[in-house]
Amino acid sequence: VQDPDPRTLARARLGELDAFEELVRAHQADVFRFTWYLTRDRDLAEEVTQETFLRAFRFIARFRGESKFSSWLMRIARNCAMDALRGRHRDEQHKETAEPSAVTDGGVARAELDAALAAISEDHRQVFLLVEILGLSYQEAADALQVNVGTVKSRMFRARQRLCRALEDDEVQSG
Amino acid sequence: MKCETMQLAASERLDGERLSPDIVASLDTHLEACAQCRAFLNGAAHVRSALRIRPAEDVPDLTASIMRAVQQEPVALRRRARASVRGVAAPMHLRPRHLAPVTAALVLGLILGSAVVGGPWQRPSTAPLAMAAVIRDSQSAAGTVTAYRATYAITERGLSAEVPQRQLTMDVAFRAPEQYRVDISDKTAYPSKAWTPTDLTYVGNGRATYRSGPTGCPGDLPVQECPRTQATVTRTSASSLATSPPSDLVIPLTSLADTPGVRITGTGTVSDRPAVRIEIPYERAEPLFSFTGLGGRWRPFFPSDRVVLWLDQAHWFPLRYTVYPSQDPQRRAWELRFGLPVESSGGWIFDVRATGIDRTAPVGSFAIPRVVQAQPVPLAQLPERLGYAPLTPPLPEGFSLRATLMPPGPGASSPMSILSYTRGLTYLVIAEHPGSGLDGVSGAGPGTEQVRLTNGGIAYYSAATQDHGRTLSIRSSSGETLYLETNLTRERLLAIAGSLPILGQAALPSGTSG
Repeated sequence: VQDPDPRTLARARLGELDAFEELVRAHQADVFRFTWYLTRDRDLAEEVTQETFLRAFRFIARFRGESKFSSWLMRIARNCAMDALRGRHRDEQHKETAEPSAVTDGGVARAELDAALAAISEDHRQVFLLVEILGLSYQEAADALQVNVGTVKSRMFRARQRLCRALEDDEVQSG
Repeated sequence: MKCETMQLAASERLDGERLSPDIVASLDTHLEACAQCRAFLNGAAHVRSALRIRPAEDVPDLTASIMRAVQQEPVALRRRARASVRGVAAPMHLRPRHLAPVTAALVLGLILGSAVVGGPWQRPSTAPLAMAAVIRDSQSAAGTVTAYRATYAITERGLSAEVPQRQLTMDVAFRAPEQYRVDISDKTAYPSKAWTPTDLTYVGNGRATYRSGPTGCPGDLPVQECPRTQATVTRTSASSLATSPPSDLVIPLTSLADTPGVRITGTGTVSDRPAVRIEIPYERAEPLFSFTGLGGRWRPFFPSDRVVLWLDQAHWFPLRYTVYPSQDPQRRAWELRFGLPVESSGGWIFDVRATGIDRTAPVGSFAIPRVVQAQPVPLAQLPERLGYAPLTPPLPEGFSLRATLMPPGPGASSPMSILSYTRGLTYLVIAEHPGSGLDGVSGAGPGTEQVRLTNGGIAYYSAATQDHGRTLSIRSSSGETLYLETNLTRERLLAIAGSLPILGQAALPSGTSG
């Protein structure tokens, strides 16, 4: 995840809408992917993506560059997704809304992987998504999740272990 | 325990984290001997490849809805932001003026329209109406501009691997009628002296032009092949009419003359000025980039690259325009052809940003050395001097007319008349010749469109480009040729041509019209 040009960021911090729009264009795909994996619900992920940028706009003047912008944005995205999921849990029982994967080449493995990802703990999944899907470094993921690098390292390892085991089990069962 | 430590290190290394040489050595030794840890590593790699070879999620473009929501944020937030921006005012910065009544009415219209459709970020269905208002008002504003100067900061990305980003400044000056000056100063720190900075000067004064700077250079030639040259060009033939003044740098009349392909996507504040945001493909916005045709080296653009243009809502000056790569799949092949890296549609590649705008008389000189300007000729004398009475359309309201004579072009024996109608930035030039004196610029050709005028005659229309304004050429059955060039709208150009007593003939077999 590339960080924006510091000048664009500076102008966005001053409230220039065109600069903020550049940030939206450059980062919305990553935010959407992250929130889709967290919520497993496309409509909700769209709402959460929008809410993420709205919050980012409100608070961008306070962003001082202590972490990378992408880490800061993902932290907001994570918080928005958690809020949205909590709200939905209050309203209704969580529906299994993971989009069914087409069973084509690689489709079975993908469905297994999605199921395995859904089965690991929230903390592990968040680290795994930031590092494996979005390509953040351990330090960036640590900044995004406000944990230390050691925690990212161990959660990443545990997530990998569980995903590997889940896939092995599936292979054994289907084989 | 040993295996868990090793797998932890393997996981870290897989993620590109830096390990100490000791740990790397122990890990490699352990992996050679331990099947269980190799299985873990294979499993992790399997998970990674399964994730990465899957089709990308269909990611929606939420920009419009996000920006709509941002626009609806409490005014206090926006006001605070605007107040902060004042600090970046440039030397030539002009304080916001009170909106002229006509513009105020338009702005009110936009606001009312926005209220109806749910916000200033318009739905596409409402865009043509609002765009038509912008076109109408910018055309009207162009007629009132008598003097203008502006300074822009230009940032260009992707010229070459050695020079990934360039910084330039551009000064634009205009004084009515028909006096333009563009100075570009290259501020880039180049890696070697083999690079010639793109320092350019252009002066247009009536029918004469002056250009100074390095000659243009194809992108694939080494920098040493682009020596610095100076050129003075005087328009001595009708063919030089095909060099339109860079009027779009003051108000983008040519780029924004028609609604198709152009849409308003919002309003906002740019450099402390209320602004309208417009999206337009590069091929339509080319006249805004006319300075790249003056010489030097510039990166190329793909025709469907997206230009985000912010126009001053009071005067329609371009405050900022930014180019984003288009998502057209064919762009990849084009990038390869130009040796460009893969350019993501999310990141801009060219940015022109006003740092100061002023409507007072420019200080810069419009004099062109060693050029004797063609003297105006009273209209009444033209028949005697030319041997024929040139066609003159009814003078549009507020326009002034200046007639000059040009020496005959190649193959022609008689001079030709050039009639220049101007009003502020708006211009219409009509060149006429009783024979083939205009063959260099008129007639049908690639890119021209055969149109039928209201008088029943046939004419050939060319859309505006970086090099010329909107043009129309007409050839009568008796061989008389007429050439019109303007930054008025296509509709007005065709209406004016249709009012002239000349019946154009088809120059091409049927079926070639556009």
